Amino acid sequence: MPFYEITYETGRSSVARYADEAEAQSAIKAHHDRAVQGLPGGPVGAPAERVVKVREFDKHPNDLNPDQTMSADVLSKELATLVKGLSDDNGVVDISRLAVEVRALSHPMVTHKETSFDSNFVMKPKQELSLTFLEGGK
Amino acid sequence: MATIVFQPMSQLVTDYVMGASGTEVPPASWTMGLSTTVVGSGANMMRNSVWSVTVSGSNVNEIGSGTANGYARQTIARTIAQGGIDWGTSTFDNTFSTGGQSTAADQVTFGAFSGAPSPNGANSWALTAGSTLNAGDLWFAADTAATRTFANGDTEKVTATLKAG
Repeated sequence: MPFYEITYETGRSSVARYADEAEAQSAIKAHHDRAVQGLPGGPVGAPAERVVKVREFDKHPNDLNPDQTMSADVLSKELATLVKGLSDDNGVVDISRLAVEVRALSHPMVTHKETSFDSNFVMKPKQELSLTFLEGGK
Repeated sequence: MATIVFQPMSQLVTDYVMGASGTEVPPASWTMGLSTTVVGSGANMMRNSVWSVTVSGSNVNEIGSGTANGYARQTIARTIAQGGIDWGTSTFDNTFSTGGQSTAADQVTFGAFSGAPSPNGANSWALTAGSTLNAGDLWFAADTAATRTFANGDTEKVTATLKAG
């Protein structure tokens, strides 16, 4: 069962799991149609939001590196780059900052987005769905 | 609204923070799940509760574990005020009896649901780890204001806050 990152016009996003693309389109269109009609988006009553991006993943994009492991060769190169980048003018490295940066090597989420519609995840999506299925209201 | 801090979160403080132990470590990112289980006041969730598909005792049961219908866990990054969904800048409350350091995560959105997930009816949200349903460490949880029952096209928004005092 694939996962989908749904990005809304507000820049918020969610990850949802559906049986297939047809089910995904049905659910996403149902929510999008509510937004177009000014209806509540859920049981709490908050307004529904238009959908602007839908990205498909084979697995949950949180699972970029769940074991938090890396090959020794790759890690050696990453460490060298980090140590060089964190060295001050006197060649001194703050070990606490280095520890934070090392932990970030396995972060599944991006730390910088060019636009609010960019994906929140480092994992590359399998595909981005065409949103033509949203056209035409109920 | 009841809240609870689970044993792994306490052990993070005593062992990982205080003692630099690797026995209990934080995940690469936090995830949030919705549970059918009420936090309660000791008769439902307990400090040593675990995720389980079996609804019994103090087990915590996740919605959508039988039929997802759009349900999946939402990720909160282990960063502060970066580009994606993560934690905000923390604030300090100096009140002697009730004060402490507080932080709020960016709001997460569940769904859109394609129909009723099974099981349905969220009574609480929980900060957890990993994307596998009914699995992973439980860190802390809080009741929803009312039972949330989901249908086609629904989304649900949750904002997690934490006060360490």
